[in-house]
Amino acid sequence: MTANGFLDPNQLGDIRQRSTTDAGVYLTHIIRAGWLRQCYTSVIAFDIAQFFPSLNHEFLSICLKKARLNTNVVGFFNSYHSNHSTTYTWNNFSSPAFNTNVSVGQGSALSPILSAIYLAPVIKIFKKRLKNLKENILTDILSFVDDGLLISQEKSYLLSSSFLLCSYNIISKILIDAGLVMEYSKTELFHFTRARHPP
Amino acid sequence: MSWSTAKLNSSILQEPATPPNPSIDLLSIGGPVISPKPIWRYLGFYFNHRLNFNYHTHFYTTKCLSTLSAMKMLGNSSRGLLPIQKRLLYRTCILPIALYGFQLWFFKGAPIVKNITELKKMQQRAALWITSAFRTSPSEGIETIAGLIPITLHLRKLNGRHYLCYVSIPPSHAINSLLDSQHAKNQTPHKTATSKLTAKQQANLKSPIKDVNEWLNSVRNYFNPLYPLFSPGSRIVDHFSSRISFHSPSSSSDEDLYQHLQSLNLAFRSS
Repeated sequence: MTANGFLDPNQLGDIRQRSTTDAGVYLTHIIRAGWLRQCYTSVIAFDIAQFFPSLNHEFLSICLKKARLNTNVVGFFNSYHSNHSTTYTWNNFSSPAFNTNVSVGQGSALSPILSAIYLAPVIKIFKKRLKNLKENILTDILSFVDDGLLISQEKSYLLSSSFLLCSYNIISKILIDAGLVMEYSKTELFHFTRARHPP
Repeated sequence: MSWSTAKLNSSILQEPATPPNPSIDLLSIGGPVISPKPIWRYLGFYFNHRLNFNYHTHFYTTKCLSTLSAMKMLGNSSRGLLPIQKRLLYRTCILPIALYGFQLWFFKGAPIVKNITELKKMQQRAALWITSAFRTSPSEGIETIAGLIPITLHLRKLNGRHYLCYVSIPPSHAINSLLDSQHAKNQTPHKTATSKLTAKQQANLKSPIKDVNEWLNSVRNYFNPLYPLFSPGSRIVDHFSSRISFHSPSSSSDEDLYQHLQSLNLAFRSS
């Protein structure tokens, strides 16, 4: 899938040969090279709330088809995810079965790659929407499973902040369309500068 | 009057001075107002605004020191774990934690003195525990007795191995977009890629990717035709001429070559 270009290069989690160190090295280089070009780097880190339990099965099956996987594999996952139900048991009490058309087993061997496939179209749509804007917004996105990062490098904080706000707005809307919700309380902002004192 | 209007206009058009700590207002999209903190934690790395990773190293060495203190109950000079077992425990359970993310700050030209000092202190404490030596013992000596590599050399070794990993990364890897064009594996270069920087910027750049580029340039099949062992008089044939014999075919005709091959095969099977 990485070979056929379905997964975005900036997706660094849950895929072979892509580690947290790679994400750190990538970010460090971007910031240091940006300083040489007299640009400040600002980032917004966001977290997706209840990521694994929120993955929609219908959306996932569409993503699997788009990933051009073998039809047998797509069929297997469709069957694996269909007719899921959950029953809650407490001492002698058992609830009736509830249909569950969301969630990928957290901790299962397949959930990392399934989550990566789920997020790939989200990142693609985000990049496309940024390109279609009248204003040329150069915001990078870095994704490590449910931890996303928007990076903006501009000559002033005002400009980078407004670009980040715009990008954040776009990505939150795309995530809502994909059945995911951002955890606003965990959103963080950070500015990098060579100045001795923080901005 | 005209001067004051021009001044006013210029002050309006001019960007206001940078606020002391610019924050972003997410109220319009249902979020809070977010302000930057002095330290930002992302994927277990502690970033500060100048990227010196002092806090990061301090955090992980403190974590290791508290682990070491707890491990003291496992043995001392008279009973408990043997020194070799303590060393194994240190190298497998403590050192990887202390060195998490060192690739972000250990590269040419980076300010590393503070970070290295913190790590050295931690390793000295570990060496004291392993050898059960007196606390005033010289750190280099007890490190040697404990069989630990000096931390700087260890970091250099690990860094070399880390750079080598980038030789085999897939073409769609994000790091490829930052490397020089000959290593980028046909990926579109990022705007901050080393290939997109001017010569002056490249010379002034201090980043792990610059070191990776230099390392990748040195990775190739290397053959030195002037190696001392290849010079006449030093070759294996010159040293052991009595023990080596050559059996060449009598002529280069196809029939002779075939016969020679058959005889070689026979000799090989019979041996």
